[in-house]
Amino acid sequence: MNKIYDYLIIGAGPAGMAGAIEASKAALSVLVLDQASSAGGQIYRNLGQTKPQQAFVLGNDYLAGRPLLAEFMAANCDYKPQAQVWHIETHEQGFIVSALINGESTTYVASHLLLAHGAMERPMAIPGWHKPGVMTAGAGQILLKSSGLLPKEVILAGSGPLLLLLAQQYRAGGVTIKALLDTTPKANYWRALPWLVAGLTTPKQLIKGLWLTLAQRIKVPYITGVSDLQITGEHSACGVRYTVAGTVHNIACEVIMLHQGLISETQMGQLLGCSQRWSDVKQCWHTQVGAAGQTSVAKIQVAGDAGAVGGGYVAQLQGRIAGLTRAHNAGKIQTRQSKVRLIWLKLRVKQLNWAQGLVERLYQPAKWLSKPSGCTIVCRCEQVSAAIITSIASAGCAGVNQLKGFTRAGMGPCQGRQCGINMGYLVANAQNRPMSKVQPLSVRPPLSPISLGQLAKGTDW
Amino acid sequence: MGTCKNELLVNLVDQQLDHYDWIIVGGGLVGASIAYGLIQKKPHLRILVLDGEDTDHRASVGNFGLIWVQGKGFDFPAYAKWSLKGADLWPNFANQLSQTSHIDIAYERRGGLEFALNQRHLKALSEEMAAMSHHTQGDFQYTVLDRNAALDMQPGLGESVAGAIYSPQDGQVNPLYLLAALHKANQLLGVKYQPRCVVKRIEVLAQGFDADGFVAKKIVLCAGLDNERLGKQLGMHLPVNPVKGQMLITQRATPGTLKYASPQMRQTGDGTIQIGGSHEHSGLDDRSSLGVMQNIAQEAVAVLPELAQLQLVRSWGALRVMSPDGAPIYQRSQNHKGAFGVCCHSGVTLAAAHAGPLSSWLLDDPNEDYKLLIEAMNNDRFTV
Amino acid sequence: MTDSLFSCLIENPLQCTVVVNNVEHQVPAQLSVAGALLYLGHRQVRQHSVSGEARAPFCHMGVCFECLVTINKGQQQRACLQQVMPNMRIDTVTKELTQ
Repeated sequence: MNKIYDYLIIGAGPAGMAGAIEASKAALSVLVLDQASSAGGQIYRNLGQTKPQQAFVLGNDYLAGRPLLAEFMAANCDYKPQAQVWHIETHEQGFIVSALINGESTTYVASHLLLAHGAMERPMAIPGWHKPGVMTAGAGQILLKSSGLLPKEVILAGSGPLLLLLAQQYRAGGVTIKALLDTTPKANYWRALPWLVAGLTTPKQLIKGLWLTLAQRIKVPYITGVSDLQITGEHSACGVRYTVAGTVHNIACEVIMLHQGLISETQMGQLLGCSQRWSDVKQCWHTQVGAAGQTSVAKIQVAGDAGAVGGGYVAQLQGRIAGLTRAHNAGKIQTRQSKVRLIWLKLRVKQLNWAQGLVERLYQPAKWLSKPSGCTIVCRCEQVSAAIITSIASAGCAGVNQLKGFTRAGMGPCQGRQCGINMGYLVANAQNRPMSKVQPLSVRPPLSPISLGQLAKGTDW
Repeated sequence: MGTCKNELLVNLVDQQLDHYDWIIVGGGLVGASIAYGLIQKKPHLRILVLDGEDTDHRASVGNFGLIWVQGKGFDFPAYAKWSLKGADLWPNFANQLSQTSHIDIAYERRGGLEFALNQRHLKALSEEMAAMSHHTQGDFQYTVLDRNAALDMQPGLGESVAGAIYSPQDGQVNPLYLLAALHKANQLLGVKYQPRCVVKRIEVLAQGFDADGFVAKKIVLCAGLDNERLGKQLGMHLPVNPVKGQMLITQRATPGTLKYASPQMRQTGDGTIQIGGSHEHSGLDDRSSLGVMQNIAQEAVAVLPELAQLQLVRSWGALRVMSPDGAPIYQRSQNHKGAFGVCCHSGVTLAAAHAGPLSSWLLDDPNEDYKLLIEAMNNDRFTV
Repeated sequence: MTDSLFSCLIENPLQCTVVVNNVEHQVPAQLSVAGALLYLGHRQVRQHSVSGEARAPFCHMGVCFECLVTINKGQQQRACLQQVMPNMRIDTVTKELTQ
């Protein structure tokens, strides 16, 4: 019989690390499972092993994660890196979590769960986005953080703070940025204007953001009002074609990095039956999460970008709230001091989330991006085009799940992560329904791949 | 005044009845096959298919894709004959459907193997096959294969495989493409399709039925597990229960990894290997569970060890629509003329039979042979 | 294989020997397998199992499954989630191999 952990945390980014710190401080038995080989999540990826040249390029916000990382490494909790959680099920004794570690399926049992597995980049289905040479801006940053690799020259295209940050980092690393193509619709600036008030409550971030934006606008070939972006090149990317104010332009480059903001990863929450909802502001589905991280399912909490994208600092605070709440509920801490701290943390998150409203509105993806058409690949795994999906959706199928059966879109190994949201948009468009009425793709194990042999050999619990 | 009002009412009802000749409640394989059969036989019919929500339990999108004769109805002669007839009707049905819909449904009939993991299992299977052959007056053909003979047909079998049953009459199809093709063909032939419409209430009218505001002269319940609830509203006893089956599907493997279809595993036209399936009574819970997935994987690797290398891409559970004896129920409402109930968990194997002879029966076609078979599968057998 | 579109900013990194498609190479030891392939100038790492088209690493965070390669002759794995190891055998995937 396995040990039953009091708290099993999935993900060792800021939210997961903070949750583990708080819960283990309160003498709960904690296990952290993380996919990466070292703790930090995407934001502080590889922070423990960073070389000086990388540190210089990546900048101070990245290095600011060091105290948290050190606190986590010193915390009295079990931590398994390179653990790929492929299934979780609910059982009388608790949650049975199956993870692939060193090629073996291992099972852990816990009474409570904290999902802190983070977000992913919004799949930007433009013509040619599946061709070699195209990657996401997040990928570019990960290559820099974990491998110290820089493209020799690059085109950055899309919208959102990460794109600007990457431009800044690439400049510091001496990369030739051939262009930064900004797809942010002009109307967004007006829509976001009233939210400037919210932004002003976090003046430091606001100034940093403005500075970051201005610096790129001055120092790289920065093109605004970009639409109808597509990748050119037959077998691999040779460049981009785009439209500004009705005029078509071409730029040649063999590395193109796309970004369109982050969306929550909902797979795990969905698998566990946590209620999901569509957010029109964030333009994504996400697990419904309360102020203490609670979901619609008892004993399951969510913290950080896994619930709603709010950035690394908010994630850390949410992780602390989740861990503290778990400790309170378990009767491990009852001091007035910790109760006050919890209230303060919640208020701070509330304020930061409000301020985040500015960023969310400013960088809402352009409408044309939610309408892929023709032979643009929507499902990369099964190579299903927008035209096929639209034709079946127009004929009146019940929704994305039926669409999946009819077209194979969403059936590949990525489990619909790269196509689900765009399938949703296409169904909503074709059937003239709001996204809030479209059900997301159902999720089934494995959440990450496992071979039949590994499954057959898996340990009993 | 009163007469006037009545006349108005009658007119109104007539107009409404004018809307559809048939309502099919359920857009799964059973409902879609019946709609396809009806519209093909009588192209002028106005047919409406009412389908459920996107995330409803749908046996049709969770099934295995076998057109399977082996063992079907070894203890129920009418079902055995019906399954065999159904399988024999499949080649023409597949041909016609592909031509109408322009969708390749990956149908093939190369025969099927059921593997036995020990001698006792092989013996039990042989006895079932003998009974089936007897019920069908020898029309059902099969061979009992010992280990060596099984190895000739499927190289690479694991050491624990004791033998297999082979029947040339078994086949397979991509069940998702089959459903897609039926929907597309129906649409092209003029069947109306209304998704996201879970029927709550069916009213009996003077000359027809009103299903949540949709009115037709005749109605067929093909709503799977919901048939029991809807059947009651039309005075029909349609006892069905969910039996969960869990399945696994792997990444694409070399074509020809599996030479024949089998209830344990089959290679799809896309190259993936589909492995199944459990029989669990767990109510409406269709989730995958670790223990069962492990058992399925273990058995698959025991049958064909080379599968161990393949990555699992997806797993799922689906709910079979099971009558108490596992055979279909074809029911004509005794109280309300024009209402029918069809319950069945072999929507793939019987798709051709449902589009063919069953649709004729619904249209009162007097083919005596089929009529006897179909009516032998009504619900009288549960009321004894 | 062509000239690499990527360079490594770490000066004099520790080197590691890997065998890519039966050819030995030295790569910086901190690279992920996907990073190593890009560093060595592999523009594509696999042929798509449906279309046969060339594909390359896309998300680098384990989401997209575009970087599947065979490592040490075993099962296909996401190259972005694995770090290079001394004498690791990495094979890019052709459509035939996928099937």
